[in-house]
Amino acid sequence: MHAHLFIPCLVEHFRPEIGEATARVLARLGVVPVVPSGQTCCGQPLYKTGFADEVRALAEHFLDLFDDAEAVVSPSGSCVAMIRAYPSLFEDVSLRRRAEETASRTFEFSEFLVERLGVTDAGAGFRARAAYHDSCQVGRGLGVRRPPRTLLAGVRGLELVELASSDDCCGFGGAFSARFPEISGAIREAKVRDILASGAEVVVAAEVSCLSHIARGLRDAGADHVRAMHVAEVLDQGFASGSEEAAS
Amino acid sequence: MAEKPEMPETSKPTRDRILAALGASVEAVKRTPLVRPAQMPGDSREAWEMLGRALASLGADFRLAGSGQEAVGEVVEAARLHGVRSALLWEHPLLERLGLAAALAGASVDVIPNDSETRFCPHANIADMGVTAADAVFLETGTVAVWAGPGRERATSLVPPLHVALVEESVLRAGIADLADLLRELAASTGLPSAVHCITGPSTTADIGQVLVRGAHGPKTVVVVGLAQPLP
Amino acid sequence: MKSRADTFAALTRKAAGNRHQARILAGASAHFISKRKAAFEAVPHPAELVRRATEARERTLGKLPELLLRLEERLGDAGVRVHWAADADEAVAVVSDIAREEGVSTVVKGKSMITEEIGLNAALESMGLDVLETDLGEYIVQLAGEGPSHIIAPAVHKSREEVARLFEEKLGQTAREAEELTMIARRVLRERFLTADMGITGVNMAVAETGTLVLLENEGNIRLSTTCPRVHVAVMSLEKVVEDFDDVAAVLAVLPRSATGQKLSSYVSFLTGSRRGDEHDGAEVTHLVILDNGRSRLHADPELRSMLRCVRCGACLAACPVYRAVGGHAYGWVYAGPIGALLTPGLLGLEHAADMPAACTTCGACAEVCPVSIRHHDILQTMRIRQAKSGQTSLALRAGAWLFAHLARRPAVFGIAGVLARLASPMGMPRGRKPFSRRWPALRNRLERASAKGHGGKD
Repeated sequence: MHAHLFIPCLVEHFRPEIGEATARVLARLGVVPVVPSGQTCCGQPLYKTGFADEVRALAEHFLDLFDDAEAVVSPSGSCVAMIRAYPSLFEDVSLRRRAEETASRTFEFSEFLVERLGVTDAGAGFRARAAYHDSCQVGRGLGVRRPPRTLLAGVRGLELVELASSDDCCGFGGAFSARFPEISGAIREAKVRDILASGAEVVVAAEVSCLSHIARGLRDAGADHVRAMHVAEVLDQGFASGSEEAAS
Repeated sequence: MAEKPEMPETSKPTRDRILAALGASVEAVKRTPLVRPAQMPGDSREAWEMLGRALASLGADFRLAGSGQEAVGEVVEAARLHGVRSALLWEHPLLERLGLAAALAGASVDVIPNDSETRFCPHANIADMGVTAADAVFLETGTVAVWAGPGRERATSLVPPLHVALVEESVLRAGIADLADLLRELAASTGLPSAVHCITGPSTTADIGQVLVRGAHGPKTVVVVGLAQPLP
Repeated sequence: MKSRADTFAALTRKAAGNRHQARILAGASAHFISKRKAAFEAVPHPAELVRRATEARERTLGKLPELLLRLEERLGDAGVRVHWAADADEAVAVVSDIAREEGVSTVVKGKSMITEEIGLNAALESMGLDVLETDLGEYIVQLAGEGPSHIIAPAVHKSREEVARLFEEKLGQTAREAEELTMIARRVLRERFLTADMGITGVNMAVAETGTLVLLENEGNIRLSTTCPRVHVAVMSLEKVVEDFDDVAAVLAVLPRSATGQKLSSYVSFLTGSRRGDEHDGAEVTHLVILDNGRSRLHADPELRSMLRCVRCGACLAACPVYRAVGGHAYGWVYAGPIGALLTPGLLGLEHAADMPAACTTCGACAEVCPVSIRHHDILQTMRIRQAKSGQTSLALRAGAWLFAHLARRPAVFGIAGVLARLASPMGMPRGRKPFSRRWPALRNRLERASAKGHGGKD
């Protein structure tokens, strides 16, 4: 089986190791990762600031790159949510149908592993106390709450602790954090307090933007020792076969 | 039926402008039945127990009386317990058949007359206790419903700090869905009373620091006396 | 009430720095959230209750003109004087006229957001009337000279200690504990109930079938305001009508649970007309003011209409991370939280609350708790799109969007822009400095070799 990876711009430019971990974990599970070149952006920064029409061209570009894929997998729930909204952007019936079909084959990473591949143990090992943050775009947006937890529960040596309010927003909200930095920071402070109170050494999420935002908050709170890792990065740890070194 | 008042002339054009500005009516939303989570229990004992539990969770007191005499005793006891010196009673067949006024007078509780030359509320404010019957009781929520009417003052269950409600088994209902049925039946038959008050526990507030306090404006204490046996 | 929503961005900036308020709101919100959750978990089919309540409110909106006419007729049959008011000024004029005609000098008021909206208190006070808020939270903020900061808990932003100090300052008496403070207010307010000429309340629901006004409360101040004074004036926004008692029951099944986790509010009053001839208490004359103030326009807007389903439970406030961070006053007008972010631009116009649609992280927590299925964050997104289309966004944002859209269609240029963004970004440079697409070829080769060797899993 082949899976085309949709690499979010945040991963491309700021957290490429998340993309690498995603590809490695899929390969390990017998899925051949394909990364079409020429990817840019899913368009959510435009959409969320109200420029919905401008996203249409990006949606067409996405379809050109991905519509022949067996499956499209992305380590970003928010990108997947945006892609699932593409059909509503098109008035042209054939484009809309193309968008619907491709969207129906597009999955968030943990959703793909658990619900499409039936994986619960990805063969990972990672000794740490970890707390899972339910990103709004993944949990509420896509309804994906169990799969990341299922995958984390299958990681050898990982102690999972629940946050008091795991599905409270981290405060990023895309353009929101740039436009209302004080509110964004205040919301983040509450999330960081929750994480620190849990005693977790690692906070795990399925959404890249949450992780970067939370990481900054942890740094501001003087809690650099708490790592912010993507689900894919955790699953990429301690793989026993030894053929491909896990990222440190 | 009250006299239909004249609508002020200025209001009609305003009304018509507003109605014209509203969006067009859409295809009628399909009507589905009410959800009825509450069912009437199989027997009386269970029903009274259910009521007792609901009232307890509200911080209200429940006493089940096996006879009219016991019921009167419970009311007198509640008066004694709360240092009641004067009481306001509904003029209601149930209270009259129980001989409640006489029993309270015998216990040195001054029963205030219902007639008042002045406004009723200040008059009711003298009383330490108000006693009513219950026109309906809803087991799901522990709600006592009272209708207003002659001799059935609103203030009786509101102004004094203690409200005692006498409940006959025939008024027990399952839940709020039944309230809807009841009100609809009333409207279709004798007509709705000017006021129906659904009372669920004592008056409460949590406006200061989310700390629950009873007796904010309405009664601090509610005592419900159930009559397990109908009066002969 | 005059809106300061056009300064929303500045208000929130200041409010976000108020750690004291944030702590109080975090505690209060957590309290409301857990009560609400427990209440719905205790019922066998919570989703069914929400569905049926949503249906009741949707049916109202679908038949609004018809129901309002039926309501007016039934109210008339019940002897209630009905007044229509297109806007705040008209509503205030109506109530002022009633007060004048009825010779009113003292007024007791139940908590009513609609009367805040129209600025009724200030208008009546300027006529020389003595207007007293009787809901404990409203009484507290009235003493403090503030407006309410929350739909159901007006003084939620005040700690117990702050209330104690306020009572000492304004009433000359105080206490330490919430219970004793409440008893002080009860005593002070009781005197006023007994002597007031007029009671003013809002309306939770008005039943078209019978002309019955439905009023919910926990304290008893609304019952006192409609039992003791001679005159009752009820002010209602036009979307509050419901068709019949079944729809009332459907809303009652979700509203108290969503607001405070109660199965039912302490008092639910059904008022049909004034006291009858042989009754001793209750108002002698009842007036109902039906107010538009921007709702007819919202109703006529299919994308925005659903916000009119709101039953004022306040659950969206408790759930909203933005509200918890900034509190109610920062919204600059009457309504706060997600419903405030909808009603303020909705009723006043987007141009008067231009920052509100963007002040949402789109987390969706609001929609998750709404008992009448309003999708606040989706409607805010619709407003954003309208703002962009109508050129209401800032030049910088429009230019940025144009640039981004162009770059994102040209992969090579987008890549260069990405490099520049990395250099400038506060998120810092990733290890190795190479973007993912530059690392991929080598990784792909490694994975292919590993797969060919038979490692790495199934074929």
